Amino acid sequence: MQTSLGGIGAFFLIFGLLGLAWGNAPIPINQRADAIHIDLAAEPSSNLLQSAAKKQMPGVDFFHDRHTQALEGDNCRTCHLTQEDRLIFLFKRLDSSDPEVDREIYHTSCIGCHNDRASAGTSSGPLRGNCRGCHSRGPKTASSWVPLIFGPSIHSRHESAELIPPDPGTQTNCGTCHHQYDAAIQKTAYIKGEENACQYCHPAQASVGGQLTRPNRFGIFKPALLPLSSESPEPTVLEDPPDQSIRFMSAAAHDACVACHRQLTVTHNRTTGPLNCAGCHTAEAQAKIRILETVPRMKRNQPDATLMAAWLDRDDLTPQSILTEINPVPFDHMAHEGHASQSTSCRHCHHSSLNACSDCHTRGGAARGGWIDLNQAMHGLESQRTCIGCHRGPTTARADCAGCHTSRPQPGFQDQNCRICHGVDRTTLPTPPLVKTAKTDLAAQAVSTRKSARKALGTLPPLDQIPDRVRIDALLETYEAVDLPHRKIIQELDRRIQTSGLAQTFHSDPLTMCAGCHHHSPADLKPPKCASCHSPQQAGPGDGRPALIAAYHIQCMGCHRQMGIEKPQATACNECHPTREK
Amino acid sequence: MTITRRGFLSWMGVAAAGALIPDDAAAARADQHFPGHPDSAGVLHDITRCIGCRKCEAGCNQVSKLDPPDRPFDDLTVLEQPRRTRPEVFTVVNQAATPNGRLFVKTQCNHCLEPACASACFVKAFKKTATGAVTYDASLCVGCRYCMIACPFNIPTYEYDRPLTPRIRKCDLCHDRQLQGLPPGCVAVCPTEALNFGPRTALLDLARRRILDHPGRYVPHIYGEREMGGTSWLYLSGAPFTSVGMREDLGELPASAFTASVLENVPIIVGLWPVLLTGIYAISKRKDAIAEQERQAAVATALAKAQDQTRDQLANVKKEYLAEKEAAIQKAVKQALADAASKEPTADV
Repeated sequence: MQTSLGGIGAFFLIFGLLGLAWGNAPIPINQRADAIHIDLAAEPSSNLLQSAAKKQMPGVDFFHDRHTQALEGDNCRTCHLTQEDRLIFLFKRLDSSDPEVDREIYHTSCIGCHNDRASAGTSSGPLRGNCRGCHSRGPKTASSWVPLIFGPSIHSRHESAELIPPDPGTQTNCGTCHHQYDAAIQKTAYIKGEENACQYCHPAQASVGGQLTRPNRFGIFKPALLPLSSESPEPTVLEDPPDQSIRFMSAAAHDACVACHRQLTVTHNRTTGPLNCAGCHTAEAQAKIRILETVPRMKRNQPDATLMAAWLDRDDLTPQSILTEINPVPFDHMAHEGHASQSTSCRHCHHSSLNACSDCHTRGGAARGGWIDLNQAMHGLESQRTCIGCHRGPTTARADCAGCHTSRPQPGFQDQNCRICHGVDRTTLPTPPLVKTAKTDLAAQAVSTRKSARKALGTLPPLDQIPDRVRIDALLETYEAVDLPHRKIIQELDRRIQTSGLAQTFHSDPLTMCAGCHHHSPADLKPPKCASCHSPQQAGPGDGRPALIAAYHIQCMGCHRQMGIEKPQATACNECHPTREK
Repeated sequence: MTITRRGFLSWMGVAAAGALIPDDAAAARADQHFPGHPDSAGVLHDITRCIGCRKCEAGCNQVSKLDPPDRPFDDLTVLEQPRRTRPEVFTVVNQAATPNGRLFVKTQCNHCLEPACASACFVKAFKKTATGAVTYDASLCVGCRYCMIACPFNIPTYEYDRPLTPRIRKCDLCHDRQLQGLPPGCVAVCPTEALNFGPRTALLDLARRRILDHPGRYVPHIYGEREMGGTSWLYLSGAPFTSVGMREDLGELPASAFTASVLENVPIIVGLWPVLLTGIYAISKRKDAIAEQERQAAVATALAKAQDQTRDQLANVKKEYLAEKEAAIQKAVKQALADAASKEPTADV
């Protein structure tokens, strides 16, 4: 008896371990953009089901596009109800209610339809009794869903779309999508010139009283204690718990976009925007979206340029006290729009509304500005939303810039040249507070002056003052001297500077670029030679200064590597300096 | 001196408590970090600067007077295969495909502040010297190769092809060159200063400054500052260290911390066993003696009791006998008197 028990024990031990090994093997996961995981037991509102969640069947991986394909034609209403001619993107109901009620709806309608189709002889999903056909315990289908960035190009194509009629009495069709809530009439209405990004009211996720929430599966606002991933977009801060009827972005977008696409498709009997999941939310489909080469400027009463300085709005200033303030910034709003349009549109800077920065980022900081004061909001180094943070982004990210900018220490706040931005002489200003038009006029004037001055000055010193070739022969031991094509390098770097407005602005002095290699000493047409600071022998870590041989190699190879210049290779010694005959 | 059971057990309790105390002490010593010999040297390897030219390998080979390589040092195709240290190769450069592009990493002995090889060596063939170098003395080595198993970086190698005089071989941070004021051979020839030689503390400062000055270029971690209790070689990388083939699962305790608490108990266990066994022996001996004493006492008591009984019985018997004898005498006397009385009248006649 003893022996047989031991034998059984060993059997289970061995096969249990094998099971573990199998369990740990990676299982390939099917990836689909249209996978919706329906799990009522995991719904945040599902207290009843949640408490007994372990006893529930596993959730269902529902493939939306497979169903629309199987149903063919204008088939939305097979599964979705309509309210005031508007499709409700919930399954067979107008609003989600108690999970147990919803569960009945799913069971009755899904299985009912499957059974009907099976008896009609058409393809169908799992039938009654085949619980595991839907409630599969296997690996969940990973969603390959990618968010659609409704960028300036797509926006512009909607603006000019002939199928979208203009708003009554205007030439534009903005009111088809844009609206805002009017508390007086308790309805949404369109007000021209006050358009905002959808996310300002329909957040992707929100923070209410410091508690992060995000939409449940249906996109209806229901606070949930779900963990938020760091990849999630920045939450919109809502100071008060929003109305239950505010829909999260996912719900609002489908209600607006898909419903409109469907309506236009039906009425005009032609292809309009995408109707299925894969049409918007796969990388392949997004790659096929036509991108306009030049996107017309979006117009929403924004200034072309404006003067920026917190003190400009104060009314207790005297000509004397103005002297202790900092020069205002002539902010070229139009140039920045062009740049922002390449990424994420206005929201790149204006994150929670299209108001002025100082409305939330006050001088002393306020809760609505996340306690980030105006100074930090403009000069913070860490965020991509501040002026300096955003400006220094490409210096290391863009190959054209990274060659010079990554070899030198990243400048901190104290290394900035204030005057490049703070360029309007405060002593020439009329006494504040300035009215809006005065600010925009002064700024526009300063911006155009700066541009013409830059054009006149150019970014390079006269060519005859730039040495054509430089012979580097300070260390002749194993290799011959290097014949550096000095002027050619500078001209190439200058060509790259000319491709960027940002670079043109900040390389304001013709000698600025020289500092890329001739660093640390004041900019001059006759800089001291490298060996002035770099000694021939490595002398320990010291102050971090490399010895001469390393200084050359770090400078040249580092720049080549950062700029993606593959020839000469860093290890092809003879291509820069031939081996010396002994 | 006699040992009582109670006395012995209480004594053992004290001894056991004493045996537990060294555990705390060992833990305390494990926390006591050895920050390296003051002013000891190290090397900072900035992986982002390495171009994979193998000049360091050539420099090492030359100053360490090693066998010439199979393929020349300027043949960079050897980088296509991952390599490790060998008895005649103290350092290798490997390339790694990382999320941030291709990087080159130099590998050699890291010269731990508290070396695992030295803690595993029972003949003290390894020594952490004041220069920072971990040196090896072949004249002491018995060839057990425990150091090769102990090293978390897989560095020491063994001369399997020299059956009579095999040695452990590894980088010694050019200990002899250091004593002459020269940097290690690899550092001296590095064309990009991907290797910086100097006091370890100054290198840490340099590494921190580079991380601060170039946000985004480096993973904000100095490998070797704390790994395995700290190493004399320090590394900066532009990609996670795991992705360039360096172990990040080593923890911050030196190898000796894992064995110290166990090994520290060896003396007390060796010392305690004889006492324990002697005590147990004494207790069992004393138990026997007591049992013997009790047995003898019981026998004596039983004997005395039996003797008393016998004596009582004899006394009774004697008493009965004397009583019977008395009765018989009385009876005889009565009989005689009776006989005499009957005879007297006759005499008168």
